[in-house]
Amino acid sequence: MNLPSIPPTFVPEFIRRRYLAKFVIAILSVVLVIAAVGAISYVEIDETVRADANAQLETTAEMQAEQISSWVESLTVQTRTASASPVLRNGDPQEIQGHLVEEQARMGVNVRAIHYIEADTGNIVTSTNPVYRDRALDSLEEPWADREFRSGFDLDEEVWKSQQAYESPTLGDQVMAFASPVPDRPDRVVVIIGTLEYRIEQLQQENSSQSTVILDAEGNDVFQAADASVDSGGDALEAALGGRVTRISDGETVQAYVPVSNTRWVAVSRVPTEEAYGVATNVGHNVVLMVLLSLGALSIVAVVLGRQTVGPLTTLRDRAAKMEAGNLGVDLETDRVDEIGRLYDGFDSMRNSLRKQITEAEQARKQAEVSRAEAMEMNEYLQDKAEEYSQIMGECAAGDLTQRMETDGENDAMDRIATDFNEMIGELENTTGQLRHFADEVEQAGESVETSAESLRDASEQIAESIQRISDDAYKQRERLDDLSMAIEDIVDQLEPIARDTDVDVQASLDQLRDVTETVEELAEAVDVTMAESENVAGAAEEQTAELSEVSQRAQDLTRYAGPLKDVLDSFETESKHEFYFPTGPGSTSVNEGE
Amino acid sequence: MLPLSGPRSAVGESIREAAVLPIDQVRDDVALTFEHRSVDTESDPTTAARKATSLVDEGYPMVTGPLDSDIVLQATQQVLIPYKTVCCSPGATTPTLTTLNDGGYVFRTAISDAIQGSLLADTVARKLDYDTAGTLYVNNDYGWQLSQAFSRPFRRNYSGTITDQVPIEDTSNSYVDAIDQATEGDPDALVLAAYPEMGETLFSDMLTRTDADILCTDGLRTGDMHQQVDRSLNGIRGLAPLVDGPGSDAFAELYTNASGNEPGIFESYAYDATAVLLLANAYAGQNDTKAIQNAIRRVTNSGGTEITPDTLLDGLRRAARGQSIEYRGASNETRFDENGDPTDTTFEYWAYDNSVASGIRELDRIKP
Repeated sequence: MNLPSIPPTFVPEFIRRRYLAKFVIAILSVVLVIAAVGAISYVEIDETVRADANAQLETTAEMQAEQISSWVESLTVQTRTASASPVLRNGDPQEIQGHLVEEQARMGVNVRAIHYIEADTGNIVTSTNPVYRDRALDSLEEPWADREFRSGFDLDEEVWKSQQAYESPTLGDQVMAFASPVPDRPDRVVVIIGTLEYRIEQLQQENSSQSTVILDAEGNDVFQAADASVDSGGDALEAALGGRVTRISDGETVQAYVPVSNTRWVAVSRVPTEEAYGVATNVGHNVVLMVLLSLGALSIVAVVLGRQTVGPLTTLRDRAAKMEAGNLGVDLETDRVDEIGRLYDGFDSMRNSLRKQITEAEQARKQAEVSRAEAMEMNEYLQDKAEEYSQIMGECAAGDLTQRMETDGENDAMDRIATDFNEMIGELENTTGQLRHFADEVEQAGESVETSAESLRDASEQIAESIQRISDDAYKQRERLDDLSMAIEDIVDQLEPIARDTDVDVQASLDQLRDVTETVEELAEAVDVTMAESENVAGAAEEQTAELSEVSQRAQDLTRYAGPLKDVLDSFETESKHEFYFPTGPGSTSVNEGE
Repeated sequence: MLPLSGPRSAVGESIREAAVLPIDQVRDDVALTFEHRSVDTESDPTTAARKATSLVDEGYPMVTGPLDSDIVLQATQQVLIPYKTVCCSPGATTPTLTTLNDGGYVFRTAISDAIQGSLLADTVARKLDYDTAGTLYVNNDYGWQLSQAFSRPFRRNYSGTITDQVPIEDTSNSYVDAIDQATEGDPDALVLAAYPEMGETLFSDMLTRTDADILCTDGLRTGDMHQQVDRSLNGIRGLAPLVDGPGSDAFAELYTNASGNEPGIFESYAYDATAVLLLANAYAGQNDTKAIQNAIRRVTNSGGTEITPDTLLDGLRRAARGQSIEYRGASNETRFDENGDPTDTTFEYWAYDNSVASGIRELDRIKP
């Protein structure tokens, strides 16, 4: 129950501070609204119901008056018509009787009997009712029997009717007599008995305590309906007789007075007040009942809800204050599963959560302190170790490759650094030792190569000179051979024409000469071959000499370079066991021991 | 509603037996419920009206009866018509019933005296060729109306002269004065509208005092009359509605088996009245009087399976299923005109004859 739309300034402080007060005021407001709506509805319904009931009552009375009026009218006309029949003027009794029977048959069921009366003697001449035939009026108990018909009618068309209904001696129903004179036969009167049987039944409406009576001008009940009694109404009756519809109401009944036309009668419809306006009264009762019930129901709701909400909320507020003060041990247990229960549970779990967080914070703080001490210790260790390593590295850098870092298992990273460093320095020491030894070997070998190369060059130069002399000799030999060959050929050429002109046999000599020439030429060619080969050998010797010069030069350079290298390497201090000896001399590719 | 006590009780009980016969005939063989009650009119209009009220109060939608005209007129006008109860009279012959303002609720199987009177006038004037006639009539509606029904057409249609119409009381032990009055004008014929119980005295007095040709109405047509009257009745003639319906023999057998007696004309009417009401009720399928009233014409008009007294059971079954049926009764064709009066009737021109077993000889058949 919240009232967010009401500005706080309009609400007194003591209400704003108390949920219970707001709650009660809200409920009272609802009751007030219900009561107001109920009261307005009651007033409206009461007016409507009263107006309807009055209208209905008046309508009923008017309808009944109309019914009675038309019935009276109908009977009056029928009586006047029946009395005017010529048969009644002239006929003998039997003829008249037959006529009456037929007349009745033609009329409606409202006609109980038709009597034909001799007014002078007061006898019933004949009738549709066999019992009444030829009877003296005085012997009958009919209320109209004492009527003085003789002087009763001034006009033929006049119709007299009994002032009140009476109970028929034959069938026991309510009937009225209508009388009219027979024209031109003043001593004869036709009396028609009309029954109200079917009208009176309608006056008492079924399933209703509403009833209607017909009163005459004196206030007497015309039809004397058995269970209908009504006040004459005095002024109301007078008013109705004057043609004005009037309604009066006493404590118990409401009555409507309506004039019956063509008569001095008044139809009075009556209904118990309770029934007429009962609906309004019932509505009123229901409204009151509704307000009371809603007040009661809302009160119960208020008490129950109040006890269920305000109490637990107050308790919870107190507990919360205790928790605020630091007491987390307050009781927040509840069996309820509704919002309040869940609120308690919420507070409970909040309290538990709070407790847990506090514990955790304490633990964290302690752990942090331990960690800091450990970190500082480690820091110092690392610093020491770093300094130690720095020192060792400095010594190594200074050339002492025998220095090694120590591992102590304290810190993996530092140990790994030490191990790796040691491994590296070991390699370096080894390599440096091998290089130094190698430089010594190179220097010695270079010097040896230089000496050998110079000896070989000298030998080669001697060979080259020898072969040049051979070649020169071969050339000279060649030239002498060629001259010889040409001298022979000239001789041949001179001899041949002589031979042909003299017929001297010289042919055999010529051919011998020619063979000598060929041999000379073959010798010349052999000399050429020798000369070429000598030139080749001389070229090779020259090339070899040049190469040996170059080798000698290179060995000289190598020796020169190895000197400084050896000096540098000698500055490194290494263990003697790492020195390396080349088993195959300088130039060997198998340098590294560890390969 | 029948006269089971009072002056008319002599015929009342045997008619009642015929009136309930259709119910006894079928009630065990058809899946319909029958509720019926016999009330005694005591031959009195006021009592009849009271008894009619009791039947209405008990919710009976239809009545067979009452029997006599004046009773029917009073009971219907005062009770049965205003309370919308269907009735079918087996005995009311008064012409007034034809003109009764009855809302269509009043039927009869008996034939209106207007027809008998008219045929009687024709017989006297043309068959017998008389010019003058007088009447003696029982002093009630029946007698008067019958006398009128004869006199009017005799005067109007045949230019005859009515010498006198003399009322006689049915309880009187001498009709000498009345006979003297009636014969004063020396009529050629005297028409008697009287009851059988009056016959003994009436005929005895008459046969000694007048030579006029005596013509009887239906009430005096009884073979027993020969035993009641010392003088010979042979030659005295009369008219009466003829029982010649298609089911007359079947009914006679049924009735004789049930009661041990031969049925008379009113027994036939009573049987037909009840049969028609039952069929109409079955056809209507409800106990609503308006529906029954309408159904009476549906079960009697032409155009359906013909039902006679011996096939009444089949007729009820068919009617209950809403099938068209056409009841053809014991007494006559059993059709109704718009006034609830029977049509298609036949009259018998008869004469007392003690040489035949029944005491009555049929001279001719006349159709109106």
